[in-house]
Amino acid sequence: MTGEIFNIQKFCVNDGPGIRTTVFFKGCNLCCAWCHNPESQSASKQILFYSDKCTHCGKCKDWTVNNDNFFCANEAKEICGKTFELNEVIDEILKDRAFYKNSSGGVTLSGGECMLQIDFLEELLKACKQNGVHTAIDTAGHVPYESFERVLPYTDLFLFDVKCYDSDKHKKYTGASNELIFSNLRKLLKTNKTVWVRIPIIPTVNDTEEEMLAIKSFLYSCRAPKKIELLPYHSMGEHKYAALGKAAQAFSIPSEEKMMQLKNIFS
Amino acid sequence: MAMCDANIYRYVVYQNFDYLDSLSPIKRSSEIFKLETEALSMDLKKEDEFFGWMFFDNPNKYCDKLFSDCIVDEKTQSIIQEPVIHGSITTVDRAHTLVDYQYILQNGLSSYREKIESEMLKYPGDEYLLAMRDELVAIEKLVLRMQLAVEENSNGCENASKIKTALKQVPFYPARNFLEAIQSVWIIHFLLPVAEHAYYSISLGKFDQYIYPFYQKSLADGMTREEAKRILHNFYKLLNSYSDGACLLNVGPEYNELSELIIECQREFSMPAPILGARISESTPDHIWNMLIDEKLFSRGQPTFYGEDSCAAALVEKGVARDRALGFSNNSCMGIGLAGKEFNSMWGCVFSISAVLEAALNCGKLLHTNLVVPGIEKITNLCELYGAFERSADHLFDICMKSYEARADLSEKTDPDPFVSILTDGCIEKRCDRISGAEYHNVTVECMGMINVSDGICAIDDLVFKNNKYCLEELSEAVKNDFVGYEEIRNDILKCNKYGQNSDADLYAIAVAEILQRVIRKKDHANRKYSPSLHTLTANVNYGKNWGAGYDGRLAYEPFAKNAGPSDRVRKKEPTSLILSAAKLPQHKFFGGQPVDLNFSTEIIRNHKKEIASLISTYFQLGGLQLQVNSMTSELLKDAVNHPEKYNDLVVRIGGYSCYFNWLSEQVKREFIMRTEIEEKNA
Ligand code: SF4
Ligand code: SF4
Repeated sequence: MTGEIFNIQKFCVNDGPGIRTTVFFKGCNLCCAWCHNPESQSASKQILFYSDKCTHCGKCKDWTVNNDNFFCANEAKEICGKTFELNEVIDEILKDRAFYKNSSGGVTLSGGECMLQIDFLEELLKACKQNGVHTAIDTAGHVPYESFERVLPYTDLFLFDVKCYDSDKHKKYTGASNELIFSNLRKLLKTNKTVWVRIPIIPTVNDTEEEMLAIKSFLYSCRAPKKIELLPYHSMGEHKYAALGKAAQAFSIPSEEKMMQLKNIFS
Repeated sequence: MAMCDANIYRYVVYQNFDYLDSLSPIKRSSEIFKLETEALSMDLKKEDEFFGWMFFDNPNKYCDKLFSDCIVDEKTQSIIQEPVIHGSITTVDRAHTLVDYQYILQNGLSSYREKIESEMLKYPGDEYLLAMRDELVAIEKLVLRMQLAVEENSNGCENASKIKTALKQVPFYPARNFLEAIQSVWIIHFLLPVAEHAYYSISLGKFDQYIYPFYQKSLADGMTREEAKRILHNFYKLLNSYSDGACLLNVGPEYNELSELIIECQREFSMPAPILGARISESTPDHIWNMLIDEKLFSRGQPTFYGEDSCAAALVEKGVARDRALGFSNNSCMGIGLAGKEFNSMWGCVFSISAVLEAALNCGKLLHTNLVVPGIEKITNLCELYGAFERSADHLFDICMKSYEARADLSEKTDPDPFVSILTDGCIEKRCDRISGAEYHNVTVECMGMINVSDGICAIDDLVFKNNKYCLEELSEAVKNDFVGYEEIRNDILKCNKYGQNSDADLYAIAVAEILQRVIRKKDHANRKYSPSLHTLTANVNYGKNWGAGYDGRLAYEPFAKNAGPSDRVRKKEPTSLILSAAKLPQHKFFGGQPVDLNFSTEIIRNHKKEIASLISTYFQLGGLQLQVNSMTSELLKDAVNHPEKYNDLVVRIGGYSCYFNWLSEQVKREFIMRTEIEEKNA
């Protein structure tokens, strides 16, 4: 069995507890305007081209994403996305086992939207649990609830991204309405699984008290999640838009005061 | 006011050359030491807590003549110089002195004097014993001058009476309280480089352990923590007065209130010296981790972390009995040693591993010189490659070893150091110099370029032996020509796995490391301990600058890999993978030291102390010896290049030593920034 993965990153400390390895699945069914992993959105392999590093040596003129010899010595061009066998991913995850054990960390399956490759995801989670690795899923939640049901037995922690409560806005900025997302979240919170809700704070989109209050009242109408994290927008993904030949939509970075003010709503 | 440095030695020799030249080398040494102590000026400032300011303000004068007995014949000269041809260098490194302060504080210099005198009864007229005694007499006179200066107290120092009492007691008699202990340590610490005429890397050893009883006693007698802190501040200012940015102070593994006070001082005083060496064991408490993992400390490259068990295991491997090994001290910059037992030639030999590989691959011929290693045949597989590599290493290291031995003999015969020998156990009884009298005379052998070489072998195995894509001659031609016209080959090499990513490439590094430690340690004899090491500091830049391209795709004149870290060709650097790779190396056999460097963003240091702590302790559980941290954004560094005036106090850690960023050469600055950028990109 294979999965489409675009990065396996070690020593991640912001995707759940402890030292973690984060596996980034390729493909997403939303297209958030602020997405800092634009290369994750398409399910197929893509070429990233960083023009500032290119010396125009011309070697790559015939290269395609399927070319085995794809290698730019200047790191100006690279393929994003690789087909992995299940075993390869597991081996990679298990390499950092000693660190998971000492730091109460584990693996986080992220993306893109990892739930879109549900068969692969389910098998991967099973294997992790068999090897005693703590598992977390980072999801935007825009998938049928059956997918959640399939992974529930093997998932220790859900990092559930909530963008905004206002459905029209949600549709405008992510390409989809949010009914399914909130209904999944409500059902998930009814189970006894640990859930951390993560809200990216995007100025002009959801950085208002109204939005936060609406999300808060929704969450408190269910079983309150274990943790609510507010993540400030950052522009670190911008160069990747350029590398994909896409235009990045510019947002400003929320001020520290703003972040404090919004965080206080949940405390 | 000029602080004391090697100028004082040069000046004294300049002033008295003919007289000194007429003396025997041993007598000459004690005479020079005496003249140096007499040439020192001193000062007690108003705010001083103890007596410390000694300096030398005569003009910078030196004579270029050698003492007649230092002139060597041509044959010896050529033996000494021979390693240079293959890119290696030897030196008798006189710094890195690590004396037994615990013994000195408990017994005073007078106990050494008694030993010397009782030996003199047995061996009247022994020249070395006489020189030892004369040096103690010189120190006595120096302390007497200090006492007079305190009596005079021309600057109105408020602590004069306390200081006077202390100087009546130390350093000759046992210290009785915190102040006397620090006073004593400072006088000895100051005199060590004077005696060695080498002003760097003088270690303070297990400071928080041997000072602690005095600290407790003084607290019980009414000293406040604030007073202790003022005394330490005074001590730190003096340590920095001759800019020894590599002076190492150990804290732990048992952490007491004094250790905590020191960590606090280290953070607040924000000076290059000393470097904090934090010893980590399974029982290092959380609150100590939280103090050590600190953005202010990390941004100055501090502390250096040492794994208690793995360091002790390394000494056991070296041949030290386990119970003694447990009493080790970490030495400046990267050594692991026994206080008062050793002479440490920390830069004794820089061994060019690239030369070894070139010889192994090319029937003994080096690519850019005429040197030929005899007995190396054409190789056709990995096994033969390793065999040829070991034979080449043997031959080339033998040249290094002979060069070092010639230097060491010369140094002992013409430039002995009776003072440091007094403080080195066994030398009084043996009536000889520390060079041959110390229990261990460690010659650290820095395996320069080892990681680049093992990456090269990995590429050769893949491209030549396994896949037959190229023949060895083609690769050598490409390397010889710095890959000009051979870009395709270089691309293929770059695609191969590299050390530091926890991949199979690490196996080649292990194999190479095993061979080298075998070759190097085979040369041990008498008290000579050839100690393998992967500790480059920034020398990787300079040595790289003098060497052509490598089989790992490194271009000519680019830096070699730093310390036990990966080469710059490694694209994805992750701290956990690097740690797992480094831990696979036979670290305990590289007891000369082998740090890895990790850089953390401020965000991680602030919010993820626990994760950093488990990262570090996992490394030590797996057998890692030393870990260096840093935290520095490239943006800040670039600003520091453009506006040096704004960053006079920016302290960075480069390899084993701390220094002000502004002191670095432009190239080292650039390399430092480049490295930071790579790390940021991968963060
Ligand atoms: S859900 Fe995440 S990965 Fe998908 S588009 Fe939005 S931000 Fe990007
Ligand atoms: S191979 Fe790399 S450097 Fe050469 S043209 Fe292509 S992208 Fe540019």
